[in-house]
Amino acid sequence: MERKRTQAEEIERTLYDIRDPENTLYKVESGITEEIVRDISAGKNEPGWMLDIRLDSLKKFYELDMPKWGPSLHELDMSQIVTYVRPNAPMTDNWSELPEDIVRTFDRLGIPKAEQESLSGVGAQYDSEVVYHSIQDELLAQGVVYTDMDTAVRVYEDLVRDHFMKLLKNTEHKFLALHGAVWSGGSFVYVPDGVEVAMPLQSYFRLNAPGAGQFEHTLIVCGKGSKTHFIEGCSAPRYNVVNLHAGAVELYVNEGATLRYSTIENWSRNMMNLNSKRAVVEKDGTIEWVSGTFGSHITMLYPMSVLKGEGARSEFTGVTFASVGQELDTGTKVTHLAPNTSSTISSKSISKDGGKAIYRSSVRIAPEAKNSKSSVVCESLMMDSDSRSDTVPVMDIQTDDADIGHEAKIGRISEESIFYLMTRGLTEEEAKAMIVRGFVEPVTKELPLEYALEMNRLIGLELEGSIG
Amino acid sequence: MKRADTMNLKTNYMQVPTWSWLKINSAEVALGNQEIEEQKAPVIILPYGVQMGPLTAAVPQPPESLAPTVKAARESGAAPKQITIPAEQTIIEPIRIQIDLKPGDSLAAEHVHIQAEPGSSATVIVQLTGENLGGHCGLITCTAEEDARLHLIKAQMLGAGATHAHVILGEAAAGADLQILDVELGGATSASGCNIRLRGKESSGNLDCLYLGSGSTTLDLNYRIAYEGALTEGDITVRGALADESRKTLRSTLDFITGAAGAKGREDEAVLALSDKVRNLSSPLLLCGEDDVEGQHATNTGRPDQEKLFYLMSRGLTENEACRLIVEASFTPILDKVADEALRDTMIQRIREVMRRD
Repeated sequence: MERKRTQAEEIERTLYDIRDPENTLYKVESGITEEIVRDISAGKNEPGWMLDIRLDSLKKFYELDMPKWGPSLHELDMSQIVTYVRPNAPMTDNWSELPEDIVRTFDRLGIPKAEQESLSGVGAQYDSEVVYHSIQDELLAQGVVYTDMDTAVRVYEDLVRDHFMKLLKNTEHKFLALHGAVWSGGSFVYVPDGVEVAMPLQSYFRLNAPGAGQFEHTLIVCGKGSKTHFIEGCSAPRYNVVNLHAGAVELYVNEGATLRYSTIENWSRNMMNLNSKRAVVEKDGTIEWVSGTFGSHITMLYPMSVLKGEGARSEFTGVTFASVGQELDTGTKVTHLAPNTSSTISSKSISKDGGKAIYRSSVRIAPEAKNSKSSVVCESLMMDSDSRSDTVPVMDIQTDDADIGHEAKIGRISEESIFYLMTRGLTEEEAKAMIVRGFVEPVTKELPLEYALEMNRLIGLELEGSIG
Repeated sequence: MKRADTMNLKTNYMQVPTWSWLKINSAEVALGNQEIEEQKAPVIILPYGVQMGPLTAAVPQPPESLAPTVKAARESGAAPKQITIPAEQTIIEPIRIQIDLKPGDSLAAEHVHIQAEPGSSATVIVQLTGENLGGHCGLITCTAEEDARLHLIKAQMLGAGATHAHVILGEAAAGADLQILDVELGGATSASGCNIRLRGKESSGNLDCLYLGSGSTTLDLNYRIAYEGALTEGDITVRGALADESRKTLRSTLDFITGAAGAKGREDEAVLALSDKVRNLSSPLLLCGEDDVEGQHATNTGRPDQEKLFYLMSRGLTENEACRLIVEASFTPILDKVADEALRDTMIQRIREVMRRD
């Protein structure tokens, strides 16, 4: 009897693939030159120290090699990438002041609606610049800052200068150096000591211009004992040319603070997504990463937690869905530097129709990190033999006084599970649907309801026949 | 023949490289650069019915990750030898391959191939001993033809100053079973690799390892099972303990190749860390190009259970004695696979010697 397989519906991209006509105020020539870097800096009227960072990063970009591991990036021709595109729109806190096509785009993505219903603040970036930013008055009154990075560089210069590219250095890899040279847009968040931001803040990044790069910088500083949930969403319409995303996210979680950083990434299938994210966590602080990776042609994304203070904690929950033409190399890095720190990693991946999902991680326990604990669980679901699923974890344990566990599983959905559920009264279809929903549930349950629904819609699993 | 030989090997590459800052993508081992007076051949003891001669069979080829060690062993060693276990023969006594490095030996290298013909069954014991400060570079290849059963035990118990690079390459045809045990209890620096290809339908192969690091020893292990045939099964099981300032790196790979429908594999590593100065690097890779498989791995690292230690000490044992007992208990499932009683006792004795630090 012919074996039928689990069918996973192609992700519905129509919503994301609608292109706006190009309506740019200004864009630089393609390629990376000092002239372009100076041009971007001058256009933003930046202080000299920021230009110095840009020029130093450009030098590093020229010096550093392409990564010697991970997916092949041979399709990326930097001479063809336009690194800065200024949309023909002002930065505003009023949607009605934006051009109609831009408002329509963010409307389709549900941003203004979510702002009304469930968010404390919203940032919306279109190509290289933030075009909309708002925050609730009561948070402003509590001293919370949520603004675009350009404004932050001017208004909160000392705070930005103390933190900008201090966690993610331009010497680390070529694309961080590139980011340092041409970064534009992104959000800055400062939450004062003891303030709890009740509803999430969300920044949405939309790249509309073909052949362009997006290099937004997100910088969040969480004061002692504060609580924040930040949501990042990103998408782009599909073009026949390569687009590049090399953003950077730097998170400072101070003593006793908790920060949840959630990402739903749905870039188009012509996107090279080479993003860098890092959090440093002080004593008794907590960083929670929730990450859904669905789009892009190639992704290399490994949010890192540096557990610097005693009792610091990190949680990573991620799901990756790789389909035809996609190579999604995702995972996380955790470095335990202090005693009594703990980390948990839960990763799920689904690969189908020739998609390639790679889970890559490192857990490092430094000699000083006595009595630290780390637990890693990763599970991969293979839908067919045209696809690939690889798991590449590394554990570097430099002390005896640590408790480290790592588990990984790969395979199809077991027929026994379906059989068991059917004996409990479910139809075969119901059983299959329940198992697949259960597979991604650890991630969806960590998201606000509307984002969980979006994730479920993105996955859109449809089951038929006998699984396997 | 007198020749200068430099053997600074970069080997044991990760099959899928990762971040270079982790320094796990490859290993380096200096096997000495002294002049070799003559190439020592291993002592090979053959039970009745087993044949030995020059290499005529096609030998398993290494994956790129292990190729440098294989090349070094082939180029530095004497002419390779082939041991053949005739078809349908069950050999009760083990085949013994002994390499004993004497003071003055600068480098020993060899390539021995074992061909288990269809339906045959045998055990091979490769034993490395000696006090030598030089190096050893060895290659064992083995092919288990249809329905053959081959059990290979490598016991590396070199002196504390020796360096060691070794590779075992195994292939199993349909219905064949290949059991490989790598025991690493000696040497200052070791780079050991093993690659099993389960080529034939319903072939099986397990790869077990036991190691004990002490002093400032550096141990680098690179293991892989490739599931190529349908319904193949094989596990990697590693039990180790690290004392003093020893360092261990393990790259282990379960590689499910497209077409290996119904394959099953599991990897399991448990490491006891006995000092706060040890370093333990592990990278258990799970590579999958086939949906109809079951693959999993589990790794656990930690100190000996403090409650067990306390209990044993409350019964009159010193901390080191209690610790030794816990380490031995952890090793028992692997040691039990050594059917040769004398060899098992030698291993236990060696473990006790290393652990005796009262």
